[in-house]
Amino acid sequence: MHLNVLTYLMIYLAAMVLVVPLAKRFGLGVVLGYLLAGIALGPAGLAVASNTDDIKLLAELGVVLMLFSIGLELDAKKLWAMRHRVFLFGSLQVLVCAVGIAVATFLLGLSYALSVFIGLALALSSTAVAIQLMKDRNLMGTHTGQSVFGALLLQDMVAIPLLIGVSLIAPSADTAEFKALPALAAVVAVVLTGRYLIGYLLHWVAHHGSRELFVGLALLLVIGVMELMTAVGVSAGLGAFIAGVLLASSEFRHQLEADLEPFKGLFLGLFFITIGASINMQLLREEWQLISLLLLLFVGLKLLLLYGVACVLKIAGPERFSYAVLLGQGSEFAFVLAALATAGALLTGTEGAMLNLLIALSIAVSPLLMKLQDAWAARQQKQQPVQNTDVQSSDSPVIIAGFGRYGQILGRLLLSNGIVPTVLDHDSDTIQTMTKFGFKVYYGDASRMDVLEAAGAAEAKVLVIAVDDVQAINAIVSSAKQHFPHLTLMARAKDVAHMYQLRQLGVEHIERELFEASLRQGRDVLSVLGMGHYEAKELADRFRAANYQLLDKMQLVREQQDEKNYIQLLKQSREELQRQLERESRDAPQRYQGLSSATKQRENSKE
Amino acid sequence: MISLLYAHPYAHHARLEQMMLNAVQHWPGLELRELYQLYPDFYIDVALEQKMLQHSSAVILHYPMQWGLPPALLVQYLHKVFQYGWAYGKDAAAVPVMSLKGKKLWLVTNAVTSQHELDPCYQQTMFTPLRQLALSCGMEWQQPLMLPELTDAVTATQAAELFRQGLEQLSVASEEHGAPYAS
Repeated sequence: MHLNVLTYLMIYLAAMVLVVPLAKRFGLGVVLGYLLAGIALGPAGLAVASNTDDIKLLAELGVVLMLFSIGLELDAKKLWAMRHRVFLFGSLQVLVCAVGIAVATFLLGLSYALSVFIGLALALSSTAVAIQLMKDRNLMGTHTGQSVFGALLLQDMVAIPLLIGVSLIAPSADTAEFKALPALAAVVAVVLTGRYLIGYLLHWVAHHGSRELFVGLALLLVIGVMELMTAVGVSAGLGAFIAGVLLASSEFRHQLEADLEPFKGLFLGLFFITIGASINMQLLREEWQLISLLLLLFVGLKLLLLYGVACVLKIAGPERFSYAVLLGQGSEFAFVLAALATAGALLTGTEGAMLNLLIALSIAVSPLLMKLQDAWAARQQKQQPVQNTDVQSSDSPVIIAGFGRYGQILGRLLLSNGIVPTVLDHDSDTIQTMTKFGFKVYYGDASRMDVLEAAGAAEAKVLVIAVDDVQAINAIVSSAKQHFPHLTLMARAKDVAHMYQLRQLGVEHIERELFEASLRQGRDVLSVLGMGHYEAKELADRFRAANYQLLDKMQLVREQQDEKNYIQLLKQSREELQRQLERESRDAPQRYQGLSSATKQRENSKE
Repeated sequence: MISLLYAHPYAHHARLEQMMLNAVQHWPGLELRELYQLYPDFYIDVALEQKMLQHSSAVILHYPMQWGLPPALLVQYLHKVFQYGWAYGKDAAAVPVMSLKGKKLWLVTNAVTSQHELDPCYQQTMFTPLRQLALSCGMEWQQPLMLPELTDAVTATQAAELFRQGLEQLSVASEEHGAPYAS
């Protein structure tokens, strides 16, 4: 049967839709789900993934799109702030891993050159896997996450000289030739167009084109960069990353991100599926003893080396292992390197296949290890409180869950008044800093009963939930309501809808996270426009009161689930507000008459 | 320096009063502070205000009177700034203090209810609490000025003239024996 690209795409999509939700249901995570789908489609399963070059190209596009969207989140300033993490910490990681693995392979009896090659190839990690795992766990912003990301960026840069090196040592026909001058020219072209031309083009299309044209342009941009970079032998991902960084300060940033998001997700899924499909099950069956031994050796050694690096990077104890696991797999680059080396007769066919298998398996093992690490961290947390409760004699009356911008302001207010709150957060960097200032900080997920207990929830009076994620906030509320009903809960609400949710969960003290700040600034706008500062304050106060009244009214209707009424009420309240405003502007002279001895009125009548 | 503390919650709407204030506020050494602009949230910078008062030879409180009472923020100001242990009473070392001793206190008000509607007997007693404050803090009480009703530009100019006369008296008097308090 002849299958065209569309048929393949259909099969792959079907596999995704069927297998991934199942994997998620059984707690295996998305990445592992994709890999399993890949194995099912691969030669050992349904064997439909035989001629999949086109799909592989799409899969690669997924990785490129991912790096592009990461670039979009990092403008030049943020990137500059990361330079130590990238160049210093990243080089350290690559160097340590490369030397360690090379020595090990040399001891296994391989030749000197081959050992160096394998060491370098296996020192790299999979950007796609690591970033997906971090995103799943919301780790990107933490010290660990940033260090991992820095290392991944450097690896992308290191991959270029590696590819050149291999093609120099073992020249072969299908070597993607690296041409220094064109490569430099290409990067400069990307920088220049990204900096000057693309902005105009985006503007132009946004104003004169339609919605889908903008999506088309975004895709064109990424695919264009990818093609250009591949043509001159530079990592396409790196090129896309640079393009992303250049557009990070553009006003279309969010639009681009949102438009490319579904493509990124799907193609990245394809990428993981192709890795799953490339696992050579036959070879695995034949040589399973040797391969599992090598896998154990490789992953074990890499984790060990990375753990050491994490210690040097001053990553907090419980997170060292996640740093190691996140970077502890083979890289998608290594596939390319292995293919090149095989073509150039540096490796024999079997060795190449073996290396491929090893990398693919290490990628498959990664999400599993991450799961293990989660479980281990959870156990650690359970043990930790025992030591801590021994030390503490007086528990704090206040627990703050989440110590970002919101929680910090609150916590500082308390601390400056002699109340030392207990703080729960999941970023080790925050924790280290805050401990210095005298906060009692725990590392952990506040929705877990044991973590709350460790933080002294049984003795505390107030639990402030200052996390920024709606799901997480609700989870913490539910858990606290169930296990510690005596606690007064105070929660941060994302918006009105979330506020209603929290009210329904029984939280009494709710603050919409942006409401007070916006109101305060609105008040300043009134002041700047020439209104008295106090008068502006009064108007803001009145607005707040009216807003709360309206919210109460709406809640009643909402609870009755009366949609028609709800919409009508919304309309009514808008009209009421309008009437009120009209009345106020009409009444202004009378309102102030009392305090300016009727002067205003007379003045008005004169005018 | 003379501190003119002006307490009117909606000063921007009292245009004729603004007119009058504009006419007097360039008086040499006069420092106008609009309390409702400075402290709309009623959180008063007590240390700063005390410093300012200490550098003044006279303090003028200018406010619209309602039910014979000053606006809420001025009351808050008097409670917070004219503290025990600073303006009156004893300090930490049990030494009597009067940080504002010898400074003049002058009230300038305009009654919300027009003057003739007020019970004359009440007019007499209206300033009693503030007079007591001046006495307790060792301040020199000046005859308060009740501004006439401001109805147009002419009355505003007249009011400004009255205000100026009062300021002149304050300055003359402070030159006479106010040397240690002059800034």
